[in-house]
Amino acid sequence: MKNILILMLLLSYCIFSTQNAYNSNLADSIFINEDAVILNDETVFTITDSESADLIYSKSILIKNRNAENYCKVYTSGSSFIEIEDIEAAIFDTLGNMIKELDTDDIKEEELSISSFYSGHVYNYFKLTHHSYPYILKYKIEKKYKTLFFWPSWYPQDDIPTLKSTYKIINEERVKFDYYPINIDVLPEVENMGDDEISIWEMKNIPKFEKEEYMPPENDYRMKILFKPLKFNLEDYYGSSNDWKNYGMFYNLLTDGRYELPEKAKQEIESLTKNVNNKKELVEILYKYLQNKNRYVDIEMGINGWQPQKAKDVYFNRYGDCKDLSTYMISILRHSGIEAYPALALSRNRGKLVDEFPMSQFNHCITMAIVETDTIWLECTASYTDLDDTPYNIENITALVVNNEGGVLVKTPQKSAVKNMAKSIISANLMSNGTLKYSADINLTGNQKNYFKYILSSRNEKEDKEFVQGILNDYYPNVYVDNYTVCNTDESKLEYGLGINGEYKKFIPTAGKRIFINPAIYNRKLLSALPKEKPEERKFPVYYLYPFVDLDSVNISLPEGFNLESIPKSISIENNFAKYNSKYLFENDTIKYSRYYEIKRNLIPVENYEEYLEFLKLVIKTDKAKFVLKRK
Amino acid sequence: MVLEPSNHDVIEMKLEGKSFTKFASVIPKSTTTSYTKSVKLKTNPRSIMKKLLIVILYLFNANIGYCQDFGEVSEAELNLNSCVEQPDADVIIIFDKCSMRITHDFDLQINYHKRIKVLTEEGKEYANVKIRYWNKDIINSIDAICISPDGEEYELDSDNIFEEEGEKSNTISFAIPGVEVGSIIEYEYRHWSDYVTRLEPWYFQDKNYTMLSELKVLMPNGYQYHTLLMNTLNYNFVQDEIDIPDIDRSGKKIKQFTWTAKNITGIKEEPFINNIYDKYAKILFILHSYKDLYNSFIFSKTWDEIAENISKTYNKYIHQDDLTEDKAIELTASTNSKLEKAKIIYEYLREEIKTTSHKTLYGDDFKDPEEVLESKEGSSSEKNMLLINMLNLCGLDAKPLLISTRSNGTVVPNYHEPWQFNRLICLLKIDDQKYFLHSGIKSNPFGYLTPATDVDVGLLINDDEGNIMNLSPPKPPNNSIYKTECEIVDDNVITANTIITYSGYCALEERDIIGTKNKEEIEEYVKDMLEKLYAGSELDSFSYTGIDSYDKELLLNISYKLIDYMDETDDLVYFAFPLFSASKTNPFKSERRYFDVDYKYTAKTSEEIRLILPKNLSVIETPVKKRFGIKDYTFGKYYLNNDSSIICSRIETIKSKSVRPKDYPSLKKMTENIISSDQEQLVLKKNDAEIQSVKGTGE
Repeated sequence: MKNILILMLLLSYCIFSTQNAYNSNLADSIFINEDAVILNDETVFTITDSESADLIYSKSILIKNRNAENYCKVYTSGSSFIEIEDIEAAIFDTLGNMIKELDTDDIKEEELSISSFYSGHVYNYFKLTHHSYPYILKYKIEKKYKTLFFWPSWYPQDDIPTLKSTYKIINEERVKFDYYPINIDVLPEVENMGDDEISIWEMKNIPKFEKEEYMPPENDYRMKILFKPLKFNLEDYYGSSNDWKNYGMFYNLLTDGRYELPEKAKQEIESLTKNVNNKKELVEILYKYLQNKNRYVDIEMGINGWQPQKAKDVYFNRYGDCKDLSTYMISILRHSGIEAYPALALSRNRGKLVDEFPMSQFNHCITMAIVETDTIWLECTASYTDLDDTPYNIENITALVVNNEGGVLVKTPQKSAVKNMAKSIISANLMSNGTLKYSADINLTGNQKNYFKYILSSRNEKEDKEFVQGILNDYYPNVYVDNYTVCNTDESKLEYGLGINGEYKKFIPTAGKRIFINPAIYNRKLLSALPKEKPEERKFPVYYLYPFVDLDSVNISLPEGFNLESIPKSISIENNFAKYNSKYLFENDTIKYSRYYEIKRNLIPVENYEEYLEFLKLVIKTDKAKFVLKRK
Repeated sequence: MVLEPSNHDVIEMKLEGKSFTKFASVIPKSTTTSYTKSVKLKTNPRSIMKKLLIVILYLFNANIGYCQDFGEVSEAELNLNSCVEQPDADVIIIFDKCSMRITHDFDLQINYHKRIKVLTEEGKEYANVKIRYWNKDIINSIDAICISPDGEEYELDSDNIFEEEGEKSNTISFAIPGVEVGSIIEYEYRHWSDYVTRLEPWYFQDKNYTMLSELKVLMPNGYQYHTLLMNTLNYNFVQDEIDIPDIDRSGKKIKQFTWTAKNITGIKEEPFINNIYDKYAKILFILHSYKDLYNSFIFSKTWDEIAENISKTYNKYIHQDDLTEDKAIELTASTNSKLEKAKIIYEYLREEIKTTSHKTLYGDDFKDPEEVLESKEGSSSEKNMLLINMLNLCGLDAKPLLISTRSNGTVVPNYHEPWQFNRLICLLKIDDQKYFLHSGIKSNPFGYLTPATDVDVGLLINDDEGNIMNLSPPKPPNNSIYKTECEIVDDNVITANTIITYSGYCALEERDIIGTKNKEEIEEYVKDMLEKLYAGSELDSFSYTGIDSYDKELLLNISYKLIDYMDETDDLVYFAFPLFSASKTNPFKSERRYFDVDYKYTAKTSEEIRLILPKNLSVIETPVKKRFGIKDYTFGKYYLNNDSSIICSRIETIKSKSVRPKDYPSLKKMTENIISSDQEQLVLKKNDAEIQSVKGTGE
């Protein structure tokens, strides 16, 4: 009965709100089984002049049961550029009668730095619920924008269905702007009302967005429209987003005069590099110097979120965020005669830059150095990366390199799978009491190395030992580490090694006629690694952080008194995105096993998804195979 | 009745700031303390007298006597580069000092001073300082410095100190410049508060190794405090008191009490800790009285006085009699039985009043009973207050009982501070029978507490009487019983049906989880449960029985398939029994533990699985039965087979909520044995195959 009432409400809302033909099948299938539905979602962005705007954001959500109450918690944030002016909210019954109104005392305000050490951001939040369902929560948030630089995008799709979403621009000053739709083919209705130009985008009956396992970060928001003013300002800095060149000039303005180093810093660098003639070596020395001397601290209030600290301040404080540390890095490189530029980036975990739409899409800043004809990309916030081992988050991205003439888009390189390798060799002796004494050598390159170095270079001895133990206990939990060593195993520092000695207690039971040994001690694919979506359901590619190779070799010497009863079958498979083979051998009372697993590309297209599933299933099945041995 | 907490060593002391008439013979000696970079963030709104006092205190600090002056580090401190005593330390706290002083203007002034040696990259985080304080208080005189391993000094610039204002508390943030591994960082600041009665507890212990932790308390004449020292017996701990000149009253002396602890190993979070602050060495203060020539105050620091204060508000709530009385009478009109009335009201609250997040136990933010009834929502404490109100209006004897939940920490009975408590429950008495009622959790049966609120003691508020009392609710049998019938069918598929019977807290927790989910989410939850059993499982159907019968068992009936679960050779089929209760990882990583392992509740988990074999398979090897245990924790695994089926039974029983540190190594080893046992394989022979030993390769 309750569902019928809700369906009627949705029906009436559709007819009333859209004045279009109601698609009952759609409402049945999309809306009726949901705990909540967004009835209306409206953004009105009124541009009052070229440097300011008013935002009114309003939303009505049908809350159908207690499970949907998380939609009744509303958060909004402000900063020195965006002022929260008003918040109103009320609850209505499904007939439109107001049940209760939000008391202003129930709106909490906190200055909080959530993702940075200090941001200067203000958060307003409230929760408004009712005990009887269904009900409609309506709220309205008004904000004052002191710059058009932060022009809000439109995200009409949510994780619950939306009946209607609109985005309206009231352009009082006829400020020139542009927009870029992504997976939205709706065109705006534009009308002139007096001096104002009004543009309205509208979508109806939008299904909820459903995430998939291992989907690429750029698909996190499927539908959106980006907006930008063609000219903008941040405080007293003025810029243009006609093209990337001009946008780069804006960053040049922000950084003007900030690359100057104090005399003491210059002397320090000169003494560090006085006998170094090779330019790449010079870059490496300076990069290590930056990493050793500085730490990442992000203080980003106001213009500091966009304008880097002066190099001399970073030199003194020995801390800074990405743009501060990059500015400092560029300063010391340039002082040493190396050509270097800041590169604005959207880190890979946040998606991909829309090249066609020059505007502020960046969340990160890195450094590009030029040595002869080579470019070297430097992540200045990481204290553990080696010169040629750019972290995956800034690999294969489009960065905006800012030189004296402005901005230029440059694609960063990506390491191939074999350059992100983890090679393990485990030699072990099985004791008659069931304990396996092992020694393991793990050699790593590229991003696999970066991960290990990050962990092992930052923490204390005990935590390091627990980490080392942790990498060996996924499949045999009773592992002990007696000792371990860590080193860069070659002079080029491309390889990083870990030597471990220890034992697995109760590796096999001491009683029983047979023992079962799965030699995949270090790497094994489990069924839990399979994405849940069936081939016909999958919409997005499968995303790995980077291509890689795992190469494992295991030798286990058995004590006397065992006969081999069964040995797993060796397998080999390869396709255009992955390669796998496993080999099993038993000779001289020794189990011998090797495994090669390669993901060649970090983005596996949706067309290959079925093949990918089949590949993974075979790997999983093979990885669980065991040697069966019988006690004599 | 006064109770001692069971897990702590507690030493009680009494302090008194006595009067001294003898003229001070020693003038405070000035020091080289560098206060030059001190920043005052806010103008102190208090009297000029106080401003003068601050100036005087600059000089006075010397006398309260840090032997380590600000920024003056020793060669030995610079050369420290590891912590042998605690290898998991990211920093060594060289010293952590606090000096609390009550001024003659009845203000509380606290000076903090800390010096830290950075040992690891992660240790650099200690240079990112955040000071959170109540927004009525004031923080000023912040000073910070870093001394690099080569002795270079980096001072904090006052422009790099930031303040954020919150609803109730503010935060000051600053990042100390110049830090690298091997640096020494040091900072100090002053905290002003009007609330002299709120001397915060002082923790001598931290998660890292502390070489010296020192607390000084300076008390003018006339104040009397009690102190409680906790968890300090194992440490090098010294107490001292001396007379020093009173800077406010020339020629007079005041008492300075000092507590010093040295070389304290840190305690880090580990699995199964209710509240880590319960484990730290600490000192607690209780303000008792103040007396001078003209004034005499006894502060409300007995439980009776606290109860009397609280009762002023609570009694208003308890005796509200408009809407709530009508409702109570309406609900209970059909019965004369006191117990029945109580159950009806309890059930009404549990079912009809929504539980919202907890805010407070009293004050303006606490919703009164009528408001809760009208809006049909309230926090668990607000709901319990409505319960007390309605029970009283029906003529029953119901009283508020304050408790501290497990995660909030153990109540120290001799520490007369109401902020130890974080929840209100109801004590109902009917004919000498006590009932502990907590209506905040929808699935909690009448008369029971929940795993979070099932604690040892509480403070009963009975008008002007406050009694710390033992809580003695009935203890439910907390069982999870799994019974599975399964059969091997073709193509490496096992079909199975499991009935899980939850009782006591196990049922409550399960109901709590599924109670917040819709149908789809419950199905996902059951699928997840199966996926934990085996990732290749397929759910066929499931049903819950008794979801709303809170005082009965909860049953979950699941039918499912395990696809490709068994391993196979040409001749054999082998696998570990698919047990829901199987242990896969050992949560106990540390070699030693210095404090109890805290379990949520005692529990028994038993599982029985009967596997029906097809004709073409027969058992050739079963794992050996297992039985082992430590005090209050036992494990057993048994097998029984015949031609057509095999039964595996597994029983794990936790009889006590805590395991002592001395039993920790045995517990860790026992968990290893359990994991190993749960991996043991059942071996079946393919009846149409001849078993032969093979030699060779897998090529």
